[in-house]
Formats: sequence, C-alpha cells, structure tokens
Amino acid sequence: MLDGILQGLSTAFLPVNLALLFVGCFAGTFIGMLPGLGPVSAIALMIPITYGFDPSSGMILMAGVYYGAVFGGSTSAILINAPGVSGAVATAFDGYPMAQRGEAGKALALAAYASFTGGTIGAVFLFAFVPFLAKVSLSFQSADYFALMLFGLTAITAFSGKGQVLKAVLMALLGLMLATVGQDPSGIQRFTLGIPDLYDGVSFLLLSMATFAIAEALMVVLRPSPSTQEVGSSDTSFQALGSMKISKEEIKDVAPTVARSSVLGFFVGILPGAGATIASFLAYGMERNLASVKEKLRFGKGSLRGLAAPETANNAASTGSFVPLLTLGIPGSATTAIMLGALLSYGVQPGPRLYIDYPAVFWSVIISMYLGNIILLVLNLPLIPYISKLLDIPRQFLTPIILFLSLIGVYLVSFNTVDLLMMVIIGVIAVVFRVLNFPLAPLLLGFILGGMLEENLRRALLISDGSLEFLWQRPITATIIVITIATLLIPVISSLKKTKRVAQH
Amino acid sequence: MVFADAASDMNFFDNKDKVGSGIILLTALIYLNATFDIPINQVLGGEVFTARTLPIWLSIITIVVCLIQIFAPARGAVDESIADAIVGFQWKTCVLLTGSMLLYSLTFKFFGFLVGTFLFLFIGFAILKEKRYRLSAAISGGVAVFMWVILTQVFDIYLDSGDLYRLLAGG
Repeated sequence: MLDGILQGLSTAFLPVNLALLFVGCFAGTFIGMLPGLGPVSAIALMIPITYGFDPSSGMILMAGVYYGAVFGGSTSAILINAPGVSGAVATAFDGYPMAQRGEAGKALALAAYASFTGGTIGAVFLFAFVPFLAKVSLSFQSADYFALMLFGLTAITAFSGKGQVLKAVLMALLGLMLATVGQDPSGIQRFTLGIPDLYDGVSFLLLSMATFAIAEALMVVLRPSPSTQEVGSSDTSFQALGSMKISKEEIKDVAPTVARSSVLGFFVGILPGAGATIASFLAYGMERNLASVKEKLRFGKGSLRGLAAPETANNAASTGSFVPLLTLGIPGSATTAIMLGALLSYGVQPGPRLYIDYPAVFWSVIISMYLGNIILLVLNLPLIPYISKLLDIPRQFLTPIILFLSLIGVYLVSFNTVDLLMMVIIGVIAVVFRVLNFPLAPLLLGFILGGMLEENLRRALLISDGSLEFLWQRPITATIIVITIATLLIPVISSLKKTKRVAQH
Repeated sequence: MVFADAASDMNFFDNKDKVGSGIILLTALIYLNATFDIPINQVLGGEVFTARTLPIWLSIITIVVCLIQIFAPARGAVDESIADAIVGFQWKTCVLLTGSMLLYSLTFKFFGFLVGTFLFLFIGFAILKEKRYRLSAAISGGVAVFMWVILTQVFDIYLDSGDLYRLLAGG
C-alpha cells in the first residue's frame, strides 16, 4: 500500500499533472458557474481533451474539473441566486441573502473554507475506506459482479423525482439497450442497421455530450429562465463582494456544523445515486433541526450555519461518491458514471483490481482530489472577483460556443462527421425526454454498466450451465441481490400507492 | 379495475408519463423485432447465452415496465400535462439552432474547420437575436481562429481545411 501511495504521490506531483489539476479547477469553476451547466457537463466537455492523455493525467484533470464545477456552482448560487449545479441549491438558501445584504465576499469565503474542510475530511475517510473495501471486493466472482452491476443500476432511484421511479427504470433500460448496439463479445453484429459507423457501437462520449451538453444548452434556449437569459442584466447582477474575512467567533460557531456535515456528506456520497444534492439538503435539514429556536429563525435569511452545512456536505459527498467507483467499479452518481466511462476508454477497468493493477492511477486520483481542494482554496478564492465577470457574458454568445465545443469535442476523437449528425439527433431526442420529465442520468448509467453487466451475466450463466441458481448460491451474491430488490421495490411500491391514492381522491 | 378506470379517464396525448412510456414501448417493440435478426453463432449455437439473450430479456422487461407505467393511474394533471409544460417554449429558436448544428455537421467537410465554425457561430448568435453583427463576426472569427491555433499548433491535431479551400486554392 505504501508503495502505491508513493507512486500516486510522485504521479500527482508531476509538474504536468499539477498544471492539469490547476487548469481543471479553474475551467471547472468557470463552467460550473454557468447556470445550467454542472459538473456532469463540465466533465463531458473535458473528455475529448483527455483522450490522448495517460489515464492518471486524464483522471487528475477530471477530478480538478469536478471540484471546480462544484465550487463554481456555489459561486453563482451565492452571487446571483442561480445554482449552477443541483448540489448548490441549498447553498443559495442562505448564501444569496448574505450577498443581498452586502456580505457576498464573506459568503464565498465561508463556502470555500467549508468545502475545503468537507473535502479534507472526505479525503481522509477515502484513504481509510478504499483500500479496505478494495481488498474485500477482491474475493468477488462474476456472479457477484453481475449482482453488483444490478445494484449499481439501483442508483437510478435517486435520479428520479417523487413517484417517478418507473420512468428512471425505463431510461436505464433504454441505456442498456443502447449498450447492445454494435459487436457483441462473441463478435456478432447487433442492431447496426448495416451502418459501418455503428459496428463499434454508440460512442460513450457522443452519448454523454449529446444527452448532457447539447440537450442542456438546447433546454436553456427552449425554456429561458430569468437567471439564464442574460446573466449580467441589472435584475440579476450581483452586489459588491464586500470583505472576505471571517471572524474567530464565526469560525467557532460553524466548526461543529462543518464537522457533522462532513461525516454525513461522505457517507451519503458513498450510497449509489445519493450524491451531493441529497447530502446538501440532508445536512441543511439536520443543522436546522439542531439549531436553537433563535438560530432557526435565521435559516433562509443568511445564516452562516445554513450556508456552511450544505457546502461542506456536498464536497464531502463528492469525495464519497468515488468510493464505489474506485473499489467496486460501479458509479455512485452521474458524474462518476462519466468518469467510469472515461476510465474504460483508457483501457482501465475500475474495481478492486484497479488498486492492484494501476496503483499510480488509483492513488494519484485520491491525492489529486485533495490537492484540488487546496488549489480551489488558495488560488480560486482570490480570483473570484475576476472569475465572476464570466456571469456578465450574454447568453446569446455563450450558448452557440458551448454547442460548438460539444460538437468539435466529439469530432476530434473520431474525425467522423456522421458522429456529429448522430450527436445532434440524440441531443434532440434527449430534449424530448427532458420535456417529458424523463431523467437522462439513468440512461447514461445503463449504457455504461450494460457492457459489464452482459459480460458478467454471460460468464455466470456459462459457469452455472444456464441455471439461475448463481443468483443465490453464494452469500455475497444473494445479499447484494436482496439489497438491490429492496432498493428498487420500496420506492416503486410507495409511488404506486401514492398514485392510487391520488386517483381515488 | 382502478388501472383500467384511470386509463380510460386520462388524456393520453397530454400526459408526459404516458407519452414518454409510449415512445419507449414503441422503441422496445422495434428493438425486440430486430433482436430476431441477430445471427446466432453456428459454432456456439447451443450455448446458454447467445448474442440474443440479453436483448430479448431487456425488450421483455422494458415492455412490461412501459405497460405498467401506461396503465398506472395518472399522478396529477398539473405535474403531467404536456400542454402546461410547454407554455412559453421558444420552439422557433430551438429548431433553428438545431438546424444550424445539422448544417454545420453536413457542411463541415466542404467548408472546413475555420469557415464552418465561423459560419456556425455567427448564425448561432443571429438566431439568438444578437443584432450587433460586427461584434458577432469578431467573436465568431476570434473563437474559430483561437481554437484552430490551439488544436493545430499546440496539440498538433490535423484539421481539414475543407473542399472549398482546395477549390479556391486549386489544390
């Protein structure tokens, strides 16, 4: 383990990787600040750039972008009440009122310190948990992996709104179907319609760019909101930043909040699908419940604890979401799903073997995530007054540039204009599903897990000679299957009960 | 019974859940039909898991889930109405922008990276109602040239100059 850590340290501290981390944090902050574009879109935009990189450098850049985008989302939430990411919605509850009363600088500084602490505690937990979990999962066989892939798919329940689990399940199934396009493991062409461009299947990059970057930009055009029309217009432009200093008393006041929210955020982040948004809301709710009656009244009106709790929790959860990715090879969120796709495209299979086969990648990613937190605090915070000028760029210039970057990003990987056409078509289909309120993240999750799911199912069935007994023969498999069924059925049953009640009334 | 009543009461084509599920159901049926066109490996024909196995399972599960979703009672008219959801949508702008992306894809080989990108951005700005055409031209040109320099000179990526350039330059 010590060897691995040293390898990771030497990789992470290579000048080129430090530079990539800095660029990633900076670019992520820029993109995350733009309302409508979150970490998922930010990472998707980075994938084409990282194609030529070695896996460690690519993942380091993406980890930087991830943290930068989370931080950027909080910045726009505080300054103009337009959270760039869903995880920053709770940040706006108290951050924006602080900005309105001329304390934007303090709110931004507190958000940065809280994020840093959440990230630090999260990174410590990550160091402790990941090697242990990776060792445990080394005993997994193909049947267990198949069960794990199914469990990974249950993350979709968290992407769906109230009573919409079935819609998320349908989108995941659609993703699984898309994953079967192209050559199967035995070399047979499936669903290619005789089009040579489909022989290798649908490109993961194309799908993620179309469903997130293109669809997101088109939705902003289709359904313009006051916060996304012209962000620099007078009604949404922010006040002067004010002082960024936080007093000792204020630090004492928020310290317990930060500690509690870090632990809560990390463990919520580990759960597949829970992610930063749920963590931030849970932390906000927990702090509000723990607050005195007097303090409770301040929540929603610029409470420091109300701002620190979600900011700490969303960063700790972002770190926690890497645990299932790095140890089990299953993504815990849409963002880590995209990272899983990127790792696979590098020829690196995440999971317990990652820890053994690619120690430099494994440890350098963990170390870089912590370095990313430091960069955000040391470099990005003083640059906020300048970075926030980005919010003045009119939407009519920004949207076509985002579309261009998405299109050219895919073209630069395949140099095939047919991919561009496919991307636009998939983007339009994604917009239709967005309008119909069908979540797109499960589609991507299903697509990414599809290949691995089929491979492990094939192996397990061949070993058991076609019998489904492999599902309950091993205790690990049976346990994961039971948890999977429970995770899926509980919200479906409660959703059906609710709709039945509504229909009866 | 409740399912049947709810299904008969609702306006299928104004319900997001039902229309979305209908689209996926149709896709699953087409997918299932195409599944039977997948050739079976003659050598491994008797295998327990073939190239068709997973697609067939997926189609069946998807069809069942779609039917449950379609025949489940509607949750609430306000949440699910398509007509309500699309009020204020700027269809024309969105369609034009999509059209400009398609045009960019189709004419990329002819115009090449520089001219194609310039035109795409300039048209995109105009579609989004930017009237300052000189500024639009300057930004479009600036972005196109900046990206060209970065990609070709810094990353050493080959970008086709396009048929138009070869036609004009006689190359």
